[in-house]
Amino acid sequence: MQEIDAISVEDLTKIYAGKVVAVDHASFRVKQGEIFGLLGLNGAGKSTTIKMLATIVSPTSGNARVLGYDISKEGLEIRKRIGVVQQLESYDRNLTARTSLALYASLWGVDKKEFSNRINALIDKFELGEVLDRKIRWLSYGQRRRLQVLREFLHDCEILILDEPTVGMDVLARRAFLDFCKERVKGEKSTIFYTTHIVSEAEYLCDRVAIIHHGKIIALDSPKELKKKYTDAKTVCVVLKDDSYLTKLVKVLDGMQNVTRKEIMEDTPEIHIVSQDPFKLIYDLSSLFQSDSYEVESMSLTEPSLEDVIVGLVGDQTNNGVK
Amino acid sequence: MVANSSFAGNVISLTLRNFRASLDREFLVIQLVLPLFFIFVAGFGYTLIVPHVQGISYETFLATGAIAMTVMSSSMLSGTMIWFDRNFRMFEQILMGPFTKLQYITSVTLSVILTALASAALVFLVSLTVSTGVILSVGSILELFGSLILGSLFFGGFGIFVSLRVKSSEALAATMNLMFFVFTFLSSVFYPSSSKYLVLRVIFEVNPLTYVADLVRRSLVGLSSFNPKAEVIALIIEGALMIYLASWSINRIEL
Repeated sequence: MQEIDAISVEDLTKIYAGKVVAVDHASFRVKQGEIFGLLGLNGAGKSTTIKMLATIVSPTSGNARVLGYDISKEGLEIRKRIGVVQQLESYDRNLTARTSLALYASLWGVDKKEFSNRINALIDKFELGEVLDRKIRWLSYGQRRRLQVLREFLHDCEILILDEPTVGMDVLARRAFLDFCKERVKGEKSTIFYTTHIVSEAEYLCDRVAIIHHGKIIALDSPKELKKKYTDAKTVCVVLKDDSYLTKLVKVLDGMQNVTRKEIMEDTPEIHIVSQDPFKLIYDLSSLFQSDSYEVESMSLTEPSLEDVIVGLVGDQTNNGVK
Repeated sequence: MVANSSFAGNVISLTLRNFRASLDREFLVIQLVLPLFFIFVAGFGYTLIVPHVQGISYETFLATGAIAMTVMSSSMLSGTMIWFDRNFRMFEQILMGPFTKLQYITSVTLSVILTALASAALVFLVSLTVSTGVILSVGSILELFGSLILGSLFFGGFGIFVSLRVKSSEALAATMNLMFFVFTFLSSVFYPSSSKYLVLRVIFEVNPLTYVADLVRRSLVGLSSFNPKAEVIALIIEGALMIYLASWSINRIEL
């Protein structure tokens, strides 16, 4: 018997106020036990997609099923089986962290003993032990955010929907959280639907990612396959000794045919050049520096990242007038 | 792996949550000061000018009116409860959980009805110190609580409706303050429901607070200006209409 998809989305569209297209005929499937990422720039349609999957926003057209249940007709059945971390903060301002968590768990039918077991198992992972008895309104943004994420791990659910959950977390907390998500999926065979605009996170965490831009899904595959499919180019990083040569270098690069894209770093005299023929580029640049008797600090070749894929794809889509 | 609970179970869980998370105890205490102020300060003062109204002492008239007013102000806390849930996004969070909008609205209404009854009971006990001729029987207490619940249903629904329609906390506070005065001063809380202007007389007679105040006086001191059956029916209709409007608003809200 064929396993039901965790999520299946067909031509899902949401138009606000009859004119703002937030999600535009999106289609994708998420398998059970998968960590699926939805990547996109701010305002790309990630949160609206999540709100439709969580059944608090109705689609304008198209449909989706979560664990086989129709989002338009069987919302309650879906909401019983999912946990959602919203992109924006949500909390009870007057309560202590412990009371708030206990109340939230009780809403999901978790009894006191089970709550106690679960909170003890989770609290250190989220580094909230010291602030558990403090009022939430006195916690830092990062602590409140960790509390909000932890809350969804207190109750049972088959799909965790996480909308930019690491916003406000520091680097260590973020990495620990991503590892925890991986463990959770392995251990409990649950599914994670994850949105982020931090591409490195998705690359580290997700089995497959879909890239959404202006509400449209413009690419979908594993991070590895996406890099293979959409970037046969590589990046040449040139670090100059100072800014004095930068203007000339940019002018020369503008005239080169095998330069796909270039990015000047903000704080350092460094330029990243994406090229389909990086070896020829390195040769050309070496000749240039030699003829100008200019010594570069360093020149290196790097593999493309998922970020390169997105920049390339989103740039192409925008240039093609898809808005 | 599935969160399963009955409609009533979910409403009770949400109501308990509302009490812990959304009711500000300081605010509750402060809003009880106003009716007590009317009973003990304004009441004593006005009694010097108006000793009796419709055959009862003005202090008794005002104290019974203050019970009705307390129910209104406590029930309108539903607006603040929903507003804070919306503002801190617990509204969306709860609706993304195993609950329906109807369960959420019912829990808020139940929370304010219980709060209103507790507040009114407190004001009632305090008002006994100044009221004369109060009938205390099981029947009168049941009649009193029945009318308070009906009133609470209307004003709870009204609070929910307003909080779902306004766009800012300032607008919510301004609307609630304005409506508090409109409902109070165009009702029979402070004086008998009559006016030389037809428009005001009509407003007096459709204002649910007039019915609540009148039913409270009937149950406690046997004074009634209207037909009590008609008042109960009117309160049921107005309460149902307001709850319907609240449900309509919550279903239309864009999250």
